[in-house]
Amino acid sequence: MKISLYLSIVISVVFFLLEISTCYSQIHFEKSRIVIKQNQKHPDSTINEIFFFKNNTESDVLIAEVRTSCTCTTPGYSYDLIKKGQKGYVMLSTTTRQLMNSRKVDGVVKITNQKGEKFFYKIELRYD
Amino acid sequence: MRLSNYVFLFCALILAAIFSSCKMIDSEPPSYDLINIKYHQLTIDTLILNQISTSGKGFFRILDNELYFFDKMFYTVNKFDSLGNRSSTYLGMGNDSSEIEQFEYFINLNNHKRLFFGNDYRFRLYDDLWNKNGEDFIFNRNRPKRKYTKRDFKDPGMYDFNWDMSRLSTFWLPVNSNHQVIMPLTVTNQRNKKFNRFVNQDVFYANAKTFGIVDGFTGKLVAVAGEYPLIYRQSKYLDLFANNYMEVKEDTILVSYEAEKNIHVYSPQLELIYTFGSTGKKMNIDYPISKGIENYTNLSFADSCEFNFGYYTHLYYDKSYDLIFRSYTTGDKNFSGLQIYNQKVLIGDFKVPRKFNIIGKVNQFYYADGLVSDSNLSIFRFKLPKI
Repeated sequence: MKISLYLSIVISVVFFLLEISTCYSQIHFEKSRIVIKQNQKHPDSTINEIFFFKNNTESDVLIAEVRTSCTCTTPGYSYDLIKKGQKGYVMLSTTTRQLMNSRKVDGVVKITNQKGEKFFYKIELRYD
Repeated sequence: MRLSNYVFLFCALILAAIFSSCKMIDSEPPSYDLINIKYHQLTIDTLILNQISTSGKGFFRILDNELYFFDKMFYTVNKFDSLGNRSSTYLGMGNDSSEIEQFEYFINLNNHKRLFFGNDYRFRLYDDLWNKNGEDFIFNRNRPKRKYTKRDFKDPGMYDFNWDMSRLSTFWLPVNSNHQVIMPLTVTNQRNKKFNRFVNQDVFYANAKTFGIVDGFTGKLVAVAGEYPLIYRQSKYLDLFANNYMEVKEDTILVSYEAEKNIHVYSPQLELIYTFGSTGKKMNIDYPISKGIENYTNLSFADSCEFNFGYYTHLYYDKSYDLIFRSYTTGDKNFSGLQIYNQKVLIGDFKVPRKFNIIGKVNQFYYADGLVSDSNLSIFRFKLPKI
């Protein structure tokens, strides 16, 4: 009975670690969605929200392109090579009024590495 | 003129009127509502695909017996094996020959050419290894004139691509044997302020064409056809349920309208040959009265219509068993319906998950698109028992 209990605990821990290592062996965004709450900002104010990510891959990466779903939102991002283990960012800039109208803006981030591999991520700015 | 001549002339006129009315009756295409239910139960299997990096927006396709997911934000094409594991990813947002700038629709051109259509009105052609094939070309609306009036309703130049599809759309554009793409059309308020879905509706729904034939290699709109069914005028006017979905069956074109129970069948010469179909089960068709363009701009009203009423959507034709599948919503957020026709006869009508659009068959399994979200990619499949 005890052996089977120990065995199941060991298996669970192994699976958990495997899961963690798979999850973190890539680009990891700290947040993929930022919500602006009603009355949090004045309608005429500007929104500049930053999405940070960590490069957990085995090579250096570069943000190749950021595209937003609305022309009302301008992207900004780390233009330099992001070395493995380092952090990068993507910033979405808009006005509160525009976000109130569209309720949500998506950004697609294209990241490439030195092997020519491509990774895509979605970030989201939402008005709630 | 003698009296007998007048009598003769009068009789001749009467006869001419009778013959002409007979001809009118003859020219009305036949309509069939035939039911012979052969399939009573459908066992649906959900294939959950291994999680991939996805935007949560896209659609599935079956190509050469393999399953693909087309991501409409990352612009990737992901191929899966029969166990639901991703085997390859192609394209992706970008400008290289192995990437794509953007797409909304995917069109399988039947001859190892893969065509994409974007909301920038550009066609992008790829080979079956997903490499770019030539330059992009623009949707040529065949519009030599600057202005079009309502009298030009037979002229392709009057029309635009209809982007206004149901949220349950699977972005399906069929192709005929001449590599021509069948596209849904509309007249926008910007194009013609006096002839569109929202103004002069009696005139519009009586005359407007509903689909177009587009050359798959040049992007030129070569012909327009299709008529709105009578229900659009009788019900004043169902603007929010005026989309149509097409499929090609051998050399004919099938057209299903959201608010019309009948599927309209067109000849290769684009003449209406006949209509057929039966009403779906438990559909809420108590549609609201139109308020013109106000309906369209009131998004919460449009949303509530989309969720609370029943309407017909996607069509798929399976040549191997000569079956036509038509999806419909009921007005219940939790389930939809699927009709199966053999030729003109309804042989099955089932309760299915809300989005359930048949996209193809691999071995004995029919596949239906599907559940698509940030956290879940699933596709439905089922077998039809032998009858």
